[in-house]
Amino acid sequence: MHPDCGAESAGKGEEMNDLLTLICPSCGGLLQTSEGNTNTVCSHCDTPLLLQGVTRRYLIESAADATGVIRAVGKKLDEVSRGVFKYCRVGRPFLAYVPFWLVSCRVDGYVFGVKPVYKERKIRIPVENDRGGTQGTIVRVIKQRKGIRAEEHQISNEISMIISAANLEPLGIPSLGKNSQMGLKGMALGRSGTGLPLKVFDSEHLPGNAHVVDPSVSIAQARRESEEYVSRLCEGVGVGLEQRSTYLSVTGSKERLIHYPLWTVDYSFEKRHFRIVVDGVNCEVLRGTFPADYEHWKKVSGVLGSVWAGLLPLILLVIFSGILKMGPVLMFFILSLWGLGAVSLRFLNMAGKSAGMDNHI
Amino acid sequence: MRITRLVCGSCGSPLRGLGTDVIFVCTGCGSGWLGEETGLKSVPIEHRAKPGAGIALPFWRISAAVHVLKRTVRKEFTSTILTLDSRYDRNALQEKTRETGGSSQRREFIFPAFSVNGLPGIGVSLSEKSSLLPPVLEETWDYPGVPGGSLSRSDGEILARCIAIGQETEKSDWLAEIELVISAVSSSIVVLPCVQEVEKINVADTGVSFFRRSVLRWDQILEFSRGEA
Repeated sequence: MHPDCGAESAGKGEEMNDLLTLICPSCGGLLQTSEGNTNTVCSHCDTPLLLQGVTRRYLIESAADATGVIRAVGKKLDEVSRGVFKYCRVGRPFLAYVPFWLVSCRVDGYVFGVKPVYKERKIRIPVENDRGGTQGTIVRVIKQRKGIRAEEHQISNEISMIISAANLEPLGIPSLGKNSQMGLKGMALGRSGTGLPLKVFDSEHLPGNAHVVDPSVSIAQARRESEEYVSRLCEGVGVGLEQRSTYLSVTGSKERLIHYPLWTVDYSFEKRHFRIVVDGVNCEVLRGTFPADYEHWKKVSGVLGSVWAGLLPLILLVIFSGILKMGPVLMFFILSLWGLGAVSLRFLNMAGKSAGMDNHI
Repeated sequence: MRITRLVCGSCGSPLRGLGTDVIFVCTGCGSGWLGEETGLKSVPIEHRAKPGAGIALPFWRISAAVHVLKRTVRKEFTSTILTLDSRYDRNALQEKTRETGGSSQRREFIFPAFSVNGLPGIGVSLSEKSSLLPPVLEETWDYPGVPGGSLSRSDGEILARCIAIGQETEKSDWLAEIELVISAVSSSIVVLPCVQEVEKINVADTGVSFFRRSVLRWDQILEFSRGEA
């Protein structure tokens, strides 16, 4: 449970089966089954049921509301740009159900090729010193290709991947696809699902505040991307093989389109506009720009100003007391002033830099 | 999504399996069924697992015509640069291969109808040892429940090709390249008794085994089988 917005978070380490709620045709009772199941048993009347036809489009309802999202943004702003939140003009949070393709399949196959065989030779090289004598020896290893060895590898694996079904760049979120499977830090939607209840997507019964983003990536494109990803992944089998031949059998392909809740919060600070994206499931801030911490710069300036204000009477006293006529004292005085000035400037520079740079997540 | 009752089309008994199963075996009359997009389809089935003789698991038996169009093998296990024209010349390396000629034959593939890592290897071994399978049971009134059958018929036909390539790799030469076409003639389900031995699962008396942890839903299969017992 998220402390700010009360959103449930998916358990880590447990099997991430997405839950689907259906109605039993025998008794009319609600039956809950894992998404992807082909059959189930009604817990009310014990009737085994066959689930025909594949539902590919689902929606995960947002567990967070606008107030919870603003609270999460406020907490993050307080954490990253201390003291800024009270000066910000925060706009109304906007909820969008963003589509993602979740593709999974089984890959079996073989990879043939030849692997170069190297011969290693160690050579001792004497190291001369300045006087022309021998100081010691260093050992260099020379790797020489001496032949090849034929190899046959078997591939057998289950692969899951996530592909953005819409362009997320306007939200400041990198699109996920064949080249990027790193996922988004903090996002509850993983490659194997969410572990959260899924609702069959019904365009006539969408949540009241829903702005549903239509997918711009077709299922054919998603399949193509997943195939490319699978072949790229299988390249890892038998790394370094030459004259490589790969034979892959892809079975049990399953694609599902999930509309995932993402909140965007726009706010302005000192006539500059910023945007933050918040996960609607676990209320984590996924992406966003945070204004520079002016408070820090003000504090540093204040402390330095007080130090110099306190030193000024002392400096004047030393100058007019006449003790500067003594050479060593003058030297010490100048060096001390120079040192203090340099340190102050360095602190001011650092604080100024952090005040001029926005933070990105 | 259409939800229909999952009952045997022959005797009306309820069919049970794991949630992801597409292969169902009726414990009443022993008939086999495949859950497809359009509904349940009958599938030929061979019962070779006596009740109580272990965990009854489903395997595909696919009979197919295999046409090897081109088969290139390496001439020797290791070639050294001394026998090649040039150290890194790709053409020179290719001279070290030869074509063994194509062939056409009918083969029978037996492999797990449940999801298991290392499936091609298990399929190759099991297909070789098909003569060691236990005999087909006469009509009996007591059929065991068969959980775990999650590979559809179309997936089975795709995997049969993979196993055919695996059979080619099992030969004593080193395969460099292969062009192979298969056309499935018939497919059926074989129910075989499997015995768990610590970490290993032995398939009938064939001597073929696989690791328990390589079966994706082994715990659920075990739970189902215990429930049936």
